Amino acid sequence: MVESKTRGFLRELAASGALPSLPDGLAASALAEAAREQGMSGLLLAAAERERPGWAEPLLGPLGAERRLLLVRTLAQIGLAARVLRILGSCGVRGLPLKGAVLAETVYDVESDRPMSDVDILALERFKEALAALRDAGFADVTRGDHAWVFRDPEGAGIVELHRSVVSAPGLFRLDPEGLWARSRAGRGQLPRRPSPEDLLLQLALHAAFQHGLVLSLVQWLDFRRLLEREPVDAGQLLALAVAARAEAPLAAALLAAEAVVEAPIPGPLRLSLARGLRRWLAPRLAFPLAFVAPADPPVVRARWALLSGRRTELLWRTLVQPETPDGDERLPARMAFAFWRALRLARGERSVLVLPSAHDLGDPPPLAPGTAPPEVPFGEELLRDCLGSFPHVRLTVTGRCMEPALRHGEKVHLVGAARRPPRVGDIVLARQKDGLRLHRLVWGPPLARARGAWRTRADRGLLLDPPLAAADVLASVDAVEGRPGARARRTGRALLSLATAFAARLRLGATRVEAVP
Amino acid sequence: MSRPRLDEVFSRSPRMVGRRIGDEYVLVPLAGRGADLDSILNLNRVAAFVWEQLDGPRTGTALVDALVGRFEVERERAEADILELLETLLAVKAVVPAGER
Repeated sequence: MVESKTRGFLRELAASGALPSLPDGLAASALAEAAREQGMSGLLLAAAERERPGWAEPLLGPLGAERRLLLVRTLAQIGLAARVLRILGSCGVRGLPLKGAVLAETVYDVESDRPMSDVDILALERFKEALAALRDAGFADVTRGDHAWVFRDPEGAGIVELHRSVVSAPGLFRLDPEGLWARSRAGRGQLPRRPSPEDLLLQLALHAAFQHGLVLSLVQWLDFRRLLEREPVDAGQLLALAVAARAEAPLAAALLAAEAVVEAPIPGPLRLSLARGLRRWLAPRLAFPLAFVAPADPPVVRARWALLSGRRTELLWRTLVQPETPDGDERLPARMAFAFWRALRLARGERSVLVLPSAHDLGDPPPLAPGTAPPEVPFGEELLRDCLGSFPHVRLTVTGRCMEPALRHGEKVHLVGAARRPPRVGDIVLARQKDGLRLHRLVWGPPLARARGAWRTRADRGLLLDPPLAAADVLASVDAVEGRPGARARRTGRALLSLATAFAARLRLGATRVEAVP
Repeated sequence: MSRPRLDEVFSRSPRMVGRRIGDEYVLVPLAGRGADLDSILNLNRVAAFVWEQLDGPRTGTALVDALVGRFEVERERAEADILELLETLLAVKAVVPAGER
């Protein structure tokens, strides 16, 4: 209840730009935390500085410090985007920035008002050469999807997603590289070029509707409103672009959601009629706008099915038959064979362990020369959350021996985000503990515990339970262990036994302490 | 580094951006590695005004003229303040002598 109060408060702030009155029972600190999660802390601070309500006074100092940090960080990220574009340009590959970096520099008062976890660059041509150029410049692979490859900046400014397509299933929504380039214009700050407002809005709509099932953070919804209010969007041209890209449904659905969430002003010509199935699916959500705001469960599969009415065979084809196999084979028979086996595994309920075979590990930096400082990868958890939201699996190297024999030191595991597969008792989960992210077993959680209650984890070789966790602290669960296809990640019996022995150990420790008291 | 002179021409470094955030005006270097709060410079009201005047190459004398026109300050004092500020900004490479961009 408190959680939806905070999101409701922030939604009103995003829609009106003014501070609503603080609801009863809502602590200012909880509001600040929620604002951080929704990318709204800069906007909350700006409103609090303007209106100076008494309840916000304690927030001004911490949020002010955070705004300075976000400003430095966001400027560095935009600089990173500019650097990547220069690298691509130096080998003759045209590229354009997407989403956050452009928006931060274009439609927000100050860059810190539009935080982002990474920067997205669209390579308009010769994707393989673009990948090679980044690697030659020292960028390290992190992970990859069918539409984008993720790299870590060797200079420590963050993470880059190099896209060959705006969203997954490349080819489903036609990309017009020549048109994108011809319509692009000069950047306003560090970025040398930026997409036209019409292209940018279409890209935002595809990202919101198709990639994320119409569930975004509040600041991402605010992007729509800011873009429509602050840039001269030509509705006729946007509509023509959407038709050419076969993206009318995602555009219409995303604009309606943006209107519901942040009161984005939709130009008349862009109020498109929706197919009946999409309209039926969307209507109840439009009446409850918080359903579009993270961390609501993103109904990605259902949304794609509804959006692609009339093109579902193509949707299945482009989802399964990827542009190349994990080994890089681009020949159609090889891609179809891979798609067949992948579909079979999915039908059997198995997860493919071949999704990221050549990706290096997240959080596993390349070897360093002696005496050099390790590259800084700031905001690792945020990045991890972003990757878990955008990719079916994220690969991670196990360090430590506290989960042996289930997980051995140095093994690679595939993680699935909690939004994609809700964790259950017995799973090995990646959870935020006091001392950082840990891979431990969930010994008390769904279906035994309530989703909003306290969950408990424990290392298989640990003596005691870890401190209680909230559901939001559990980021992902282990889906597979590389090299051990038969390994079962979920062990419910083991978890319950672990819980019981931990309680027994606690009782023993308690008894010892009692005996020790004179 | 020699001390700045009022007849010299100065411009902002392209590697430094100024932003007004809330009640403060900050300069942030663009070449940093990730988020380094130590690299931020806070400008007071007068310094922020001078920075905004540097939206193109300006001589020290032009900055003094602008300062005297905007604030109630004697010219002699304004000249000293501008020279001191330019010296600070040159030291942190926030401004550069024109032609060194």
